[in-house]
Amino acid sequence: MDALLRTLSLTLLLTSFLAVESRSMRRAILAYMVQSLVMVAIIAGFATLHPRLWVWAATAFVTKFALISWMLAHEARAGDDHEVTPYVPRVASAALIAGLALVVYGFVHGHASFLAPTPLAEAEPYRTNVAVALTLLFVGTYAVLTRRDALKVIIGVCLMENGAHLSLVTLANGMHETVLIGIVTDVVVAIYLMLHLVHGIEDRLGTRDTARLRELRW
Amino acid sequence: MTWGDGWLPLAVLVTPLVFALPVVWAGDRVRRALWVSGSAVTLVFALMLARRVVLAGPIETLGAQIRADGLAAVMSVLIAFLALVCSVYALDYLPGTHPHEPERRERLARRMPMFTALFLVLESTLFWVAMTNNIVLLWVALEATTLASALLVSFYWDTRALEAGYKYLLLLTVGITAAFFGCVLLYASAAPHLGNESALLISNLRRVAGRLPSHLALASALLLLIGFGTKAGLAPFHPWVADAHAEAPAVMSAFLSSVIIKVPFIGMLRVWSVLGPRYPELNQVLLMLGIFTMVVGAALAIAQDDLKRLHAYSSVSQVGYIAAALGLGTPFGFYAAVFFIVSHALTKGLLFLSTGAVVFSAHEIRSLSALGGLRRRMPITAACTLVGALSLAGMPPFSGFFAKMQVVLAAADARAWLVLGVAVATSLVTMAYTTSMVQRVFASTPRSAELEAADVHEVPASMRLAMVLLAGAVIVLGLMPQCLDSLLRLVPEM
Repeated sequence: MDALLRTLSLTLLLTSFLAVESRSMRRAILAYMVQSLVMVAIIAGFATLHPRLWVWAATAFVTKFALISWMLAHEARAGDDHEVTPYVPRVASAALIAGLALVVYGFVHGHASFLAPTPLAEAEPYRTNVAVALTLLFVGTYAVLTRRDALKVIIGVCLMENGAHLSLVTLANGMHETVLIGIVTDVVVAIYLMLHLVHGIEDRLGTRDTARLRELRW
Repeated sequence: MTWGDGWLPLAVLVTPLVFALPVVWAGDRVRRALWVSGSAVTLVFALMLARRVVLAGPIETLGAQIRADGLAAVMSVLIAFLALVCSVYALDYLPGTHPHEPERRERLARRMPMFTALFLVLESTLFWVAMTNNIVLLWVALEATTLASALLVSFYWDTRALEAGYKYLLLLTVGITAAFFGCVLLYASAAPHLGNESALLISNLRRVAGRLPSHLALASALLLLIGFGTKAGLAPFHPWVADAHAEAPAVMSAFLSSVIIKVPFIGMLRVWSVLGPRYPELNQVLLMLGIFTMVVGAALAIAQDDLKRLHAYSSVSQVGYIAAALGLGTPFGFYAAVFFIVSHALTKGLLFLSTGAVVFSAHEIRSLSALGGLRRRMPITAACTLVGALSLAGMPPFSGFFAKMQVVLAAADARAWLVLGVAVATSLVTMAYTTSMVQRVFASTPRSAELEAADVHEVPASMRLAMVLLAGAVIVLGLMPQCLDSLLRLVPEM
């Protein structure tokens, strides 16, 4: 089970790479959907050790895989499938993201004792999960900073939220379900509102290019 | 504490939500009446709560998930009062905006039910932040305030409003994700000592603060600072502030500056009161951030030509005072921070509402280089603006004088001479741009042909009443700063 959970965690990194680097919005959203399913599988894996996490797995399935993926796909269908050219060219971006992921993962994995609140959290699969969670956070932040397409920026935010969710499952799985439901509700509503605003921007400007949002300066 | 009083905090929390439902379907007049009456009822409950806390101490309910202590009581009264004032102001403001664009007015009128309902929901989320005793639900509640306010910021739904709303939601969501990691780390560190359920309660964290791994306590506090600091508009996390304040309707700008950017300090106060005494380096970080924010905000404010952006950057500068006071890490510092929160909320709320009045009457002109000579045509607005400006500048006998004096005295008491020096210097800069603002808007003569030709007159009664209420509160707090003592003295004991 430990080996399986570690493998699933590392799969999250691959799907993050695909979600960020795919220039087709449909493929990027598909990568996010696969990532969401992997997240559900990871939570289900933990649930075999802590049965209350089955509620968490079901919640993640409904919110991340079903709701958020549907909302992203709905917005992508309404607009251009091709991503607005990002600030960083393709090859450089792929190299940057790979390098960032390697550095963050390697550092956190190697210094897990710094972030582990208990001795258990230093052991596998928790160690790998924490490293992947923080890597997702950084990869998502990279997407937010370097992508001009508003929909891709939102996907970056979704990756950050997945990293946060993974850290919650790994480090704080004793938390009550009502707290988790509050958290995921916030995330779903945030993504919905961002997409609603992006839709409004696309209606007004005819593009999702955030570089065109330059009326407000200083 | 008695279980029988547990209904009071819940009444404050739930009342705005109860009124939010019918406003969606009500007609225009009924909706406005529901908004004002809902806000008034909430204020009554908040005052009852404050009185109860002063007389008999904190109230816990829902298994200690909700805890109304001195800080929660102060903030609840403040939120409820500002919400009521804003609802009164909006009676004539929102229907009356853009009088020369009938299509736009009609479009905005159709969105009014959404605005009113979301404003009430926002009010409820703010109370939740003030009263939650759960470290993770504190994060949920803070994010909920952002979500409830996003569509209010972008209410006008033009390109500028959409840009402001997008940046607001994006930056705050990204920032608060860092805070989420902080919450998770703090909880995970405390859980082995307190148990899974108890570790969620902020009031329990104090018991185990000394047993938390120091590097985790520091890491979680810093992550929380990034998240809460972004929400509060602390530099360098402030880029969203000016855009959101400038493009939102004035009633929303007032609420943003007076209350929304203050509630993150509740989270900071609660965490810093637990971890600050053990980790002085945290206080140092907050001090430096406060100083940096004071300077950056003032420098940006003084360079603005847009009236609303000037007030927005001024708010950035002023929240620096709050952060610095918190960073002193003393009971006096905590007291000064909360007094400053109250004073600035009233003052800046007044300034944004009076700015809204100017823009309302002056054909949407917001540029200082185009305004002028409005004193005779808008005497009440001018007088209220003067009260707000003098309070912001720290002049007696207004509340801002005592607010800044408290911070300066707390800094002197803690021998934080850099804070003292920067606070005083920033006050002087604040005085410069506020007096300049008043002079350029209300004195001299109109600086644009459009303004000169326009039929500018005083705003409707409800807008005047709202401004006068806030001006009165600024004056009363200035003349009787001790009136909050019974609540504020409870803050360091939370």
